[in-house]
This record gives sequence, C-alpha cells and structure tokens, in this order.
Amino acid sequence: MNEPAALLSHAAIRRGAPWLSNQGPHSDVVLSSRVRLARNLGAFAFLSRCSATDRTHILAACRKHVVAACQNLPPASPEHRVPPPTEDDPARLLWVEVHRLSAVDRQLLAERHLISKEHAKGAEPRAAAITLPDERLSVMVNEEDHLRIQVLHSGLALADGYTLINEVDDRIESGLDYAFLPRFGYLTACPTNVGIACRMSVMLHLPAVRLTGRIEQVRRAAKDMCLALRGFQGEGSESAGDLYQISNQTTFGKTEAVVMQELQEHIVPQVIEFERRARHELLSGSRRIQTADQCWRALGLLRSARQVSTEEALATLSLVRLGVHLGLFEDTSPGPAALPAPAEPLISQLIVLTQPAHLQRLAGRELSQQERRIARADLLRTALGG
Amino acid sequence: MKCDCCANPATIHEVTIHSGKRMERHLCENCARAQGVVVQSQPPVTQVIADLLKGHAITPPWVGPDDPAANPAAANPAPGACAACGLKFAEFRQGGLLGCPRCYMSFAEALAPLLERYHQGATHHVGKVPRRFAARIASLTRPLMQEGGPPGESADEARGRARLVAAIAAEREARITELRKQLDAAVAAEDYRRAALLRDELLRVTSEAREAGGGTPIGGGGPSA
Ligand SMILES: [Zn+2]
Ligand SMILES: [Zn+2]
Repeated sequence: MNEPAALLSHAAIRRGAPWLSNQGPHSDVVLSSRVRLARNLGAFAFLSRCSATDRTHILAACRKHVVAACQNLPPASPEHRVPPPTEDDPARLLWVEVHRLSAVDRQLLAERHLISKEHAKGAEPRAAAITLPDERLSVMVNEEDHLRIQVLHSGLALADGYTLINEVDDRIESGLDYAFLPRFGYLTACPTNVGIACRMSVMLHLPAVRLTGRIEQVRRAAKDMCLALRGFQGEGSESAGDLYQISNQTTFGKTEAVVMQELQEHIVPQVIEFERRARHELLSGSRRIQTADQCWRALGLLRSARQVSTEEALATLSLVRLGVHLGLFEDTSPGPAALPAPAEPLISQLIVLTQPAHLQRLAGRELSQQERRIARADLLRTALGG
Repeated sequence: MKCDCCANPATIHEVTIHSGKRMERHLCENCARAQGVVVQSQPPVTQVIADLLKGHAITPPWVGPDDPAANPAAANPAPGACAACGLKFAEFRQGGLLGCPRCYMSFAEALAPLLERYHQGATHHVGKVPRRFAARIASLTRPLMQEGGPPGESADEARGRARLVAAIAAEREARITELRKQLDAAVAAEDYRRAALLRDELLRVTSEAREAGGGTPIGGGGPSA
C-alpha cells in the first residue's frame, strides 16, 4: 500500500511488542500487566451523545494536555527491559488521529494492544497517544470515555504500572476539569467503571491448567473474588492460545491500592501456583512422555507447515511455549540435535508477529487471507528453523 | 487554564454557538472586559457549594453540556429525563451507557441499587480524588467553615451555611464509614496487608479533614496531593 510514513518503524514491528518480551517477575506464567484509567471531561456529554463537532472539540481540548503529560516520563525500571531509545528510534510521543489511519495501521495498533479493538473501528474523530520506542504508555481519546489511559508492562508489574499511570493522570488533570463527584468518584459513560475508574489486568498463559482439565476451577476462584476471567481477544473469545486475562470487576467503593492488592497478592499468585503445579504434574510419571510428544508435535507442525491460520498458530505456539518453559526441547536424545531449540522471547513474540496486520506490514503489502496463511507459515518456519 | 490573550489565569469561560459551530473563549477578567464580554457576577459561594454537593457543578456552572444552545436535546427535557443531556433512564437501561456526567445526579437514586449490585454492595466512592477538584472545594468551603461567618450575614444565610457545613461533614463521614466497614472486614478475615492499606487511607482522609479546618475535604486530595 506504499504509504510514505510508517506508523511504527520496520525494526519495531519486527521485534514484536515490548509487553511480550518475556521479562519481569513470573513471566513463565504472566505475560503482561495492564493498568487502565477512564476519565471524562466535565464540560462535555459522554461520547454516545456527542456530535462529530463535539468529538473534534474534545480532541482539541485533550491533545495539548495529553501530549504535555506524556513527555519526560520517569524512565522504565531496568527489569522491564523495554527497548531503549536509539539514534534511529529516539524517545518520542506518537499522536495519531486514528480515524485517518488505514485499516491495517489501526489493526496493527490493536494487535500490539496499544488501542482497543473498539477504538480501531469507526470513522468518528478519535486519537491515540503512544510513547515510543517503549510502547508502555498509551492514551486513547474518544473511546467509550473521553480519555482511556493505559500502561502495559511485561510480567507481573501492576505496582510499577500504577505508579506511572497515576503520575500521567495527575499531569493531564492539571490542565483539564475531570467529571467527578464526591459520592460517585470519577464519572464514566458506563456505570460499571465508575468510582476509581481503574481496571487492572494481567495476561496469563495457562496451558497446563487446560491440559489437566482445571480451567473451570480457576474460573470459579476468580468469580468468587469478583474478578473477571476472559480470553486473549477479550469478551467471549474462549482462550485462544490458552491466554487468559484476569481483571477487577469492582471499581466502586474500593481504593486503587486495595484493588491492586487483591489481584497481585491474592488471586494472581494462586493462579500462578495452580499453573506451576499443573506443569509439574505434566512432567511426572507416565504423563511426561505424553506431554513431550504433544509439545514436540506442535513444534514439528510449525517447522513444516505450508499454511497456518491465526487460531492454529496461537494454539500450537501455546504448546511450544509450554515445551520451552518445561525444558522439553533440550532433550533431543536419541537422534541428532540438528536444529537449535526454540527459545524466549521469540516464542512469546510470535504470538503478535503472526497476527494479520503484522504479517502485512512485514510483507510490505496487503495480503489476502490465503496469502496471510502462507506468509504466517513461512514466518514460523523461518523463526523456528524448519 | 490560561487566558487566551495574556498569561493570567482565565476566569471567564464563554461558550457560544455560531451557525452551528461551538466557540470557546477563556479569558481573564481584564481581557474579557477589554473585549466587551459581559462579565457575569459569579453565583454566591453557598450556591456553588450546594451545587457541588448535589453534583450540579461538576464544571463551573457557566459552561457545560447543559447549555441549552449547545444541546438541543436538553432544551426541553422529557419528564424524568436528564436535564443536562435529555437521556431517559429507560434509554440507559437499554443501551447501558449514560449520556453525560450529570446523569449521575439526575438518576442518582435509580443508579444507587444498580451500583451496589455491580460493585459488591458499595455505596460510596473511596480512593483517588482529582487535585483540581479537591483544591476548588477547599478554597470554596474554607470561608464557610469559619466561626461567625462573613460580616453582615443574615440569620437565613447563617442557617444555610450551617446546613452546608453539616452536608460536607456528612459526605466525609460516608467515606470514613465505608473505609471503617472494609477495615473491620479485613481484620475479621485476618487480611492484615489489606487492613494496613485501609488504615493508611483512613488516616489520609481524617488528617486532611483536620488540616483543612475541620471539614473541608469532600474530596480529600489525590494520594500524593
Ligand atoms: Zn488576559
Ligand atoms: Zn445526562
């Protein structure tokens, strides 16, 4: 499609998403942590009752303050290993009017979780601010609420995420009047978000819990604590690639600190423990050979397939990732160890690199669904040495 | 917000609709006079506070979506509809989304049981408060808290002031009660980490109340304020 100015550099696209860098605490199970705030301006109606002109006014009112707030942020702690700024890829803020982007660019941002799928759709005026090259902070303007601010980190890192987002929120608020009432807190278009209007979530990789038939137990435990368990692609999607998101349901009547503590100290460590025990079980006794067989077959499939769908890629990569973290691919006996064992963070990054918009940007042109399946298979074979 | 014309803080905010286009001007009082903008006298402080408590002054009362010219739907709201945006509660039940910030006041009583259901029985916000909001409330309420009131206060005004002071105290009490309830529950569950977090928050709310002269913080200030 020959667009002169690329939204993200080719190098950035090729290295994948920083939140999938497999760094940070508990990254064998926790892929990433996200903190999101919803904010609205007091002087405007919520977006469902805004005209295109109102939306343009909101964009104009927010732009200056959002851009100022996202500059000169405290550096990421070294443990997050976000890509450091370089001469070719300096630290900067990307402000994009999402409604003017091509369909592929919108999807590219959504695949990297920098904007929501809902924000990627629609022709009404909307924007996003994204910090580069670290991609840890993004602000959506005119999503369901006037402002949705989010911080994404690899591994279990809600506390660092909240510290950063709290600072950015204060900076934005220093120039804008937020809609707020003492009784109800931060006012949001949907009352399920009102109060602290803060959603914290962690993305978990739970292949062993599924293989041992215990996902329902996790779901029940989450529900008992009023937490939501969703698939990777959000609501409804059933566990593509054994990726699950746990997030707080309650935003009203609880402080930010309490919500974080519930997730970070109660439910998430339990689920991590649950997955690790299930992984242990998969390696014990006669189960070991069955597990090794499953993971090796998955690797073999990706090393030889000539066309692969998104769903198949996610499901198969899940087993390969499991095999990597169980150390199954180090054991090549008997037989020649001709190919290097697959390793992190490549395996985690392939989750995003095999998504449609990424494949098209890597190819440098639009691809049909059939062409994408072939490109996906080529990419996986190259990456895994097939 | 700075004045559009000079570096002084803007105190006059004007929204006009000109052939369907919304125009905003933010000016300091001097520039506003110089440009011939009629400087409206601000509503009395007690009125602003009463509105804030009820939620009618989320924004300065002279701007916002309730400006009928800016929002035709609000010019003649149907009975039972939000006076600011015209949304009917039935429409909210259908679509799940409220129409504007003031809907929370328009439908406060109908929303309360829904919020309790969505949010584990909660009845009151606890947690972060925007700094500007907290600062504004504090500056507005501080004079009201002083013994004796402003010079030349009538008996009616004094009674009105006493009611406001009581309402502000009640608002703060609701936050403290909510936190105490959660603290007791945390202690009963032997969740001492959570109890410590809640105790910190309680201390913050009560100490800010004391600092502000006995009753100010409806909000209480952000965590790092
Ligand atoms: Zn001026
Ligand atoms: Zn309304």
